[in-house]
Amino acid sequence: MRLGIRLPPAPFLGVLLRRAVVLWLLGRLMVACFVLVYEGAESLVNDAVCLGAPASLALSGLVAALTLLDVLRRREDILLGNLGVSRTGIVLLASLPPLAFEALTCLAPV
Amino acid sequence: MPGPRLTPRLAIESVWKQFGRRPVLRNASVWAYAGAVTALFGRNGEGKSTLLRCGLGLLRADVGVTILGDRRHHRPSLARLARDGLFFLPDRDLFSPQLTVAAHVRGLVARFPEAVPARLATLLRDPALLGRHAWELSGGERRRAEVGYAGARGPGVLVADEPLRGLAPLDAQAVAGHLRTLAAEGCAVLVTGHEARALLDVADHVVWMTGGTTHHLGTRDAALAHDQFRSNYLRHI
Repeated sequence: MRLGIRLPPAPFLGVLLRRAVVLWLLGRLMVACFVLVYEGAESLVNDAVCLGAPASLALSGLVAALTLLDVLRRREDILLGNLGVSRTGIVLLASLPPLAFEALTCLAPV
Repeated sequence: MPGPRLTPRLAIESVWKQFGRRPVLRNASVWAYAGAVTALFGRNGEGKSTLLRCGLGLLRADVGVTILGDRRHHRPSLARLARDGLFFLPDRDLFSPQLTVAAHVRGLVARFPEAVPARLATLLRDPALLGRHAWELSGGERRRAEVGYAGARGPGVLVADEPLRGLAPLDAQAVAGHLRTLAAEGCAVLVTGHEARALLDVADHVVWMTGGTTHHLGTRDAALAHDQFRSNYLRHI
């Protein structure tokens, strides 16, 4: 079966990946603040670095959704559509950086 | 009406669309033919942009079908249509504010190696504009850049929503000429706008939209001879 999902070409690819990374960093910062406020500094390393699979997936999904919303807000969906990139392609691309970084943070020795 | 032997390259057919309880489109259809410019006219709020957006999958139509080449799309998607050679120029803001015009062109060539960036440079006139971001361009410069970008794609079908919007008369003429040139090269051009004089000069087929439905008036001369079109839309032109 041909899925027909295409990623954006070079300049657009970089822009979307950067936005997804920034959103992931902001999400992580908010999680750290939340843990700091409600559980204290001693839990920060254990609870805020490796979130666990469900929370990591949820954060990645949120980042992908926010990146898509940002694309729609900037009216870039038509430009990307003209390049053969669907909204599904945007969501898939935007979910890659958070998934990769989440995997890295969980693998990192604390 | 176009002759019976003509087969449209793009057909947006029998579209019905309602926003809440307000019907906007009632069995509206529009066709674009290879090598010809089709001009879609209509007063503000008659549903021209809605028809195009429904046909290209940017809005979900209640009923309707889009046929591009020999493929029927009951749930069209711009990305899929674009891969088959269609380019849609929206009525505003095609470019990303974060990238320069040249970066947009690089992306276009990366995706479609057959693209012809020289077409954009011709319409832009000043090569320095290529190095600027969209927000650094004036409204007219941006519009010329966007139309040039659409032409640079070398599309089989170009759907342009108000491509002459905000252009000075001379620039509007140049852009209309650009659309004519694209058609002469075999592109099917479907265009909307209120610059009736400039668009009628380049139009091969005229479609008039009123009351949410479309009336195919035929050639430019036939449209100019159409009493209702003249009195209800053109007035003094």
